[in-house]
Amino acid sequence: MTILQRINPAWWELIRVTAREFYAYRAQIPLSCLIFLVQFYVLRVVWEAAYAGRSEVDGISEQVLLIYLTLSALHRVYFSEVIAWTIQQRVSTGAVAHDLVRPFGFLKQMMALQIGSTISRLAFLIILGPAAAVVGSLDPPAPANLGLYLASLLLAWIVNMLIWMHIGLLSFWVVHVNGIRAMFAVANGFLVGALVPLWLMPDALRIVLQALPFQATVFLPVSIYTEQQTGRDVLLPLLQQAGWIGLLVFTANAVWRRAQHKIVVQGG
Amino acid sequence: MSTLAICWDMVLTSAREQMQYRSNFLIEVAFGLVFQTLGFAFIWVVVGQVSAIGGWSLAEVTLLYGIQLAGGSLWALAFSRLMLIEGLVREGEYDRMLVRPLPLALQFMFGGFRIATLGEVLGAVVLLVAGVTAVDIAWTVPKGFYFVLAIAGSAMIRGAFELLPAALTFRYLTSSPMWVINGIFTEFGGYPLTIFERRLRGFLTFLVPVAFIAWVPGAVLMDRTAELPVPAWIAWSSPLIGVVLLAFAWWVFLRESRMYQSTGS
Amino acid sequence: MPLIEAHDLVKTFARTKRVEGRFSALRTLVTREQETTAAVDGVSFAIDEGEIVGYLGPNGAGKSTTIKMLTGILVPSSGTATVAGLVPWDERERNALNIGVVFGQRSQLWWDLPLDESFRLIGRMYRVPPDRYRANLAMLTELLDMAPFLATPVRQLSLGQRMRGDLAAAMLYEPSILFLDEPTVGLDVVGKERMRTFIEEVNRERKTTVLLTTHDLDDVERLCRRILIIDHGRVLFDGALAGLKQRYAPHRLLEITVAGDGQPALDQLLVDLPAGVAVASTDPLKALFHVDLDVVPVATAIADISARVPVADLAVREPETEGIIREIYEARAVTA
Repeated sequence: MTILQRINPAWWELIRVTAREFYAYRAQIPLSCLIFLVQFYVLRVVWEAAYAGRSEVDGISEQVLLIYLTLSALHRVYFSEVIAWTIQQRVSTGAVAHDLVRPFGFLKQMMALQIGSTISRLAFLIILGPAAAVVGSLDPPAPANLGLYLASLLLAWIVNMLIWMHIGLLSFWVVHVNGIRAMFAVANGFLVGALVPLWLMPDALRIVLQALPFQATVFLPVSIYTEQQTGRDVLLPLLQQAGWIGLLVFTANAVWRRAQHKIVVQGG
Repeated sequence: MSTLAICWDMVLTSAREQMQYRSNFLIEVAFGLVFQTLGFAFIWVVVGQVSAIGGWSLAEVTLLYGIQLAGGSLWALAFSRLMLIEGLVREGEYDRMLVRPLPLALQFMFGGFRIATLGEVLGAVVLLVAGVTAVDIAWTVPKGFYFVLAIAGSAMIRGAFELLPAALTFRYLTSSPMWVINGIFTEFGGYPLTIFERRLRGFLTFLVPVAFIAWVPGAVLMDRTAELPVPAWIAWSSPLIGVVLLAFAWWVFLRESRMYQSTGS
Repeated sequence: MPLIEAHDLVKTFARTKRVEGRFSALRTLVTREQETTAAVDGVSFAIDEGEIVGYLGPNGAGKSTTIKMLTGILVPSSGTATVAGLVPWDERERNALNIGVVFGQRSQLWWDLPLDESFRLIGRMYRVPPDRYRANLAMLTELLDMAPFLATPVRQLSLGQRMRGDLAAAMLYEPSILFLDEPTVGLDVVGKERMRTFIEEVNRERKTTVLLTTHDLDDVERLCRRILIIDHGRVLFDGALAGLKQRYAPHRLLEITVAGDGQPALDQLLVDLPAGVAVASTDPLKALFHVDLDVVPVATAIADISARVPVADLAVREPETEGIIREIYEARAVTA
């Protein structure tokens, strides 16, 4: 059997269904794109005002910063929090009972959902990519870094999914995790380094954020792209990301086991 | 039983509903606080690194952000329910509101109180105090009055620009424009508009009056009205502008509500 | 003086015309052509205090739209109406104090709070004096048997319990008029029975006027002495239920069982029926007859038949309301 055949067909099904579901909401795309561009534009103008004619701040040139900000903004579009929201919703409505009875792991179902949603958002890219490049700036990186960036992008996507999976799993203990999730969604931009690159943060703040997994989703890959890492240093972010994935997979499984235990013991 | 007592009852009921899920009042307040002030964290880091943007120092921008937050959170404190209008209309809950022996304005105000808005107000107060103490304002009695009135005016302008798109919901069953306009106010409102290029600044002053949310009042308090695109006397009348806009928006809202077709059979 | 009066109520809705053909979605978006439908097209009636009136019609007939105008939710395109002397859409808040409204699909109770908290808030909202509130609540709790779940959050109630709660909420402030929009939908037999008993009770004790929209004809049979039938925005029938049967289905079903030796007599009868009597079905020693009241009164038919066969048992059944109403919808007859 080929590798493709060995993968449980449930994956393809769920991904396809999810992608199609999100396609049903396509009417909201123009509005979301507009809000995205407005927010990004303000971000850029504020930074320009901050630079106010200076050629660089803390060793970072304005041009590099602009590319950084543009790419970060696009990252955030694709790194959705759907999985957190869905888990929360399925727990609070009790629908999770159905999901648990399926011959396909709950966590895997949620992952397929996240994949499907990412795929359906690819439709945005056609409009959003060029629009963001116009509002901001997007030069291609050096060929060597491009491959590493793409690898880093993939790892970043996985870290993002794992983070939101944890937040979603909180629903099993905290009934209305919506507020927590919303707070993280708002804070996310800041924590991942999309609003301010970690290089330009005050030391205390930077140290704290470097100890958290959030930066692995945006800051690390984008810093590879903008060539702020050179030589062997380029591998360091990749190692960090891999490390976070390992840790988060471990904790996710631990949390999930406890959640299942809770369901069995307390009837959900 | 006075109308006020009924309104207070509705507020308590909403509060109790929220605390069914979260046993802790403080958690809700904390969320509100963090939610709104996170935007300021960004400013604090950026402006802190470069000491000034658009000719405004960190302390001065803090004041602006505090004024914006104060106006916005006051309106949210009073009218949280208005944001939900699309859902209310689609789900038929608005029908029930029409069958109650209470004016609609009061039902929109007191029917959907969110505890988190108390946190938002708290955050605004903190930033305002920080801004006012850090900035060297030459206080006078007129300025004192103006300070309070301008915040009220700011709340009223936010309100007007929430009511206007909300009015569309009756006819078109969608309030998406509300979110766009709200987003514009939230994103642009806390900055000195000098950082934006001239035509955008004009748009944000004369078409969608974001300038009057914080920048204009802040400039008046700091005697910097010269940098504004409007003469000083208009700047001093910003509370009045708020009143006029809100009255107009409410009139439109009431008129459009007659276009309500109700849903379902 | 009628308590509820409607004169030539008309409500038209304008919808953007859907453009057919190529690029239909885009063209529909930009077209200015509208098509107007009259959901209610000249409805008039008068209801006196203390009546229980059934309001029937197929889906989309205009029932809900009429109710919404009478409760102040919609403003009519033309026509007038008064409810307890007030024009509902002009004096919305004052009208609200006189009416209780139960929408079958949507509860007015606060979802996350215990039932009695919802009652308390409604009592205050409608300015019910505390002692009257307590008395009403006690009476309603007993009538609707709500004591076991008064303290339960509404979201945890069963449909039947929630509907009882909604009925109680609507009656807490003793409105003179109750508008009930499909109140028994989804309830089990016990639930429906409870609801009907309650409506009868409040109507009898307090002379509460009830306008009841329903698809359930058992509701109608049990509660409504008068019915209004509406379709395509127009009233097709307005009168007593008995009158309905008399006009549209003037027949009775007569079921007889004959004594053990009566089969020959019965067979004789079956081939030589009296005037106005037709056979619906037969079984050994049994027969179901259709008696046409336009030709012969049922008493006469019974006498005729009893004279010719030894009747052991006899039952007279009225025609089924459902059949009649379906015929009316199908015929779209306008009452003479």
